[in-house]
Formats: sequence, C-alpha cells, structure tokens
Amino acid sequence: MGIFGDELIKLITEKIKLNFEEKLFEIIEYLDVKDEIIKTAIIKKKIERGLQIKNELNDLIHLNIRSYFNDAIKQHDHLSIKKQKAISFLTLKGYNVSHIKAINGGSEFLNLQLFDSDKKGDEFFGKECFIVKNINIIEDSNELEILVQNNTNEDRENVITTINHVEEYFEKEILQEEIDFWFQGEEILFISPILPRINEYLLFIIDKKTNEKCLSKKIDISLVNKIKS
Amino acid sequence: MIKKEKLMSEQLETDIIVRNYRTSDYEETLEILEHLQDKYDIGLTEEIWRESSGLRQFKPNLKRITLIAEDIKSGEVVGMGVIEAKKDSIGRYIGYLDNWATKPNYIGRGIGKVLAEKAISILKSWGCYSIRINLGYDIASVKKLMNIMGKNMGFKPMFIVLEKKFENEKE
Repeated sequence: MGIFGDELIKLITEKIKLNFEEKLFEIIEYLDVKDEIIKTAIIKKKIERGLQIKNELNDLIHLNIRSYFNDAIKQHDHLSIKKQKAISFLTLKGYNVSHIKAINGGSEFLNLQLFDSDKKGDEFFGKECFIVKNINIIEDSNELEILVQNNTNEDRENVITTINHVEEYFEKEILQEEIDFWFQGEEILFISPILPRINEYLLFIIDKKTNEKCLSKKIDISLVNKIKS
Repeated sequence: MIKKEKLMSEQLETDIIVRNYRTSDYEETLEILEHLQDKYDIGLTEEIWRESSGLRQFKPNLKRITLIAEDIKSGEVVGMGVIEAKKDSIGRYIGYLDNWATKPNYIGRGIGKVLAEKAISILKSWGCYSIRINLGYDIASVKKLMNIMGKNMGFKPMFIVLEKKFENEKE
C-alpha cells in the first residue's frame, strides 16, 4: 500500500466508510474486551461480532487491493508510472510477470521502460531529501533511536517529524516535533520509547508548508540492532 | 525559532563560531569531557558518550543540543556545552545547561559566556519557563561563575543539588 500511497488509501478509506461506518465501533469494542480474563456472555458476543466484522473488513481491503492491481496492470499506457510501480511491486514479491503485455501495441513487458538506462539513478528517482542513517534499540532504557540526516544540499525549514505506532488498524502518535531549521547534512537523533507488545513503528518527515511527505519509514523492532546505552 | 539562531554558520566573535555538534567532533568533545571527569567526576564513560550522543536529539518531553565553540582558523573544538529542555512534574519545560567546558588553554577568552548567551536564547525560543545550571561544588569556581552568570545574565542561586551515586554504595 505504501507504494501507491494516497490514491489506494483514499480508495480503501471510501470503501470502508461506505460499508463499515456504522459497524467500526464493534471492532473497537472487540479490541477493548478481547483480553478480559472473565468473559461473560455479553463479552463473548461482542468478541464474536467484532471478529466477524474484522474479517469482513480484511476481505474488503484485500479485494480492493487485488482489483486496484488488476486495473493498474491493464492500463493502456505502458509508460504509466502507476503501471510500472505495480509491475515492480509484483516482481519484488516474486510473481512471474513476463506474460504481461501492453494492450495497445502488444509490446511485451520487456519493452517497458522500467528504468531509463540513459539517466542516472538520482535523476530518475529524485534524491531522497532525508535518509535514515542508523536505527538502534537501547536495551537499558528500552528506547528506539533513529538517526536521520538531511541529505539535500540546502538547509530545510519547518519540517515536522512524527513517530507513530500501529496497533491493529489504528496509528497512535508517540512523538511529534517541529524542526524549525534542519541544516544541510545535519544528523538528528529521534528517540521513542518502545511500548509493550508493539513491534512496528512508523517514522514520517513532512514538509509543513507543502504537506509533502519527505520520508516515511516502517521500523520493525525485531529486525533492529540492540545496543547498551 | 532556530532559524534566528543559525548556529552552524553564525560568527559570534572574530575567531570563534558557535555551531551544532557533528559526529566528527566526537574525539575532541570526549577530550573536553575527560577534563571535566577528572575535575568533577561527572560519571563519564567512553562507551556511553557515543559518536551520536551530542547530536541534536528529540524524544517525548525532552529536547537536547550540544553547542560547539570552534576556532575558525584552526578548526579546533575549543569549548562545548549541552543544553536540554525537560518537562518537569508540573508540565513546564525547564532548561538546563550541562557539561559546560572550555579547553584549558582557551579559558578566560569569553568562550563560555558566548556559548551561554547562545544557549539562553535557544532555551527561550523553546518556551522554557526557566533555566537551571548545576555548578561544580568548588567554591572558587562557583564565585567566579556567579559573578559572570549572576551579574551579567540575571541568574540567581535558587537550589542546592545533592547527589548520591549508586555505584559507590556499599551493601
């Protein structure tokens, strides 16, 4: 979903609103009571109902992602970025995409200009404005350290950095910091507490003026290096 | 707010600039901190003061910057100071000046004062309610610092800090 960004998220959000607006509270209720030690008949009913809606929601999301991919791949314009992203994503996932053909000209997938060999990488993809240089877990304090560098050749102003964690379907904010001035090449350390039973954290860097997402990074703490403070 | 305090490039005196810490300052800042350790036993261990320790850092309820005074001609780090803004138990941000030191051969040239002035303006821009400085318990130094910080910058003695170190505790 991250690859297609806002368009796919918007589509799924609309579908959820349309089909689940009146039912979402039942998933929240289910999440709220599922760990109760004593499960009364009412709680059991809430769990059963919540699980059922959660599964329906999952099915809806998967169905829409599948149909979105189908549409993206069947696009007539074989140079479409959306189509190329879809094919890249499927290739990355290990699917065989050699059979995919451009519908208008019948040219084969290999003719798609997924990469322009005449251009350097930076020109094609654009240089990343911010890069994550290092991530560590500090064992003693149970904190997540994320080292981010301004990778551009200019000072950046008014940049918002947030660290969120994802619990079931909901993002919760742990840290939000507005950086008034981020010097070129400067590295800044963001430290987030590690929460019990939460393994995935999301780092976003957003330009406050344009609302442009300069960096988004998902961090799975089970894959992060552990150090002592 | 920091834009006005453009630390990386602002020239404050003819031969000194004040800027943010960079990882390449690690060795020189370690040397300065070791001087402090010898004099005041600040609890420094090399493993804990890592290359990234002095970087600008943000975590919930805490902001920290290490200011570096650099000799323009030689590029040498001649002074440093850590500034922190921490949210206290009643929800106010209190600024702290910590591990403030100048290399011995640069003492008396006003470097500490320049760093302190810069630190105060940053902490003010961060919305701190007040600024606190822990002074080493050495009467001569305290008198000297009180003279500079008290008379010129409006600091007043308010608290006495007592410290108990756990590693020295005997069973």
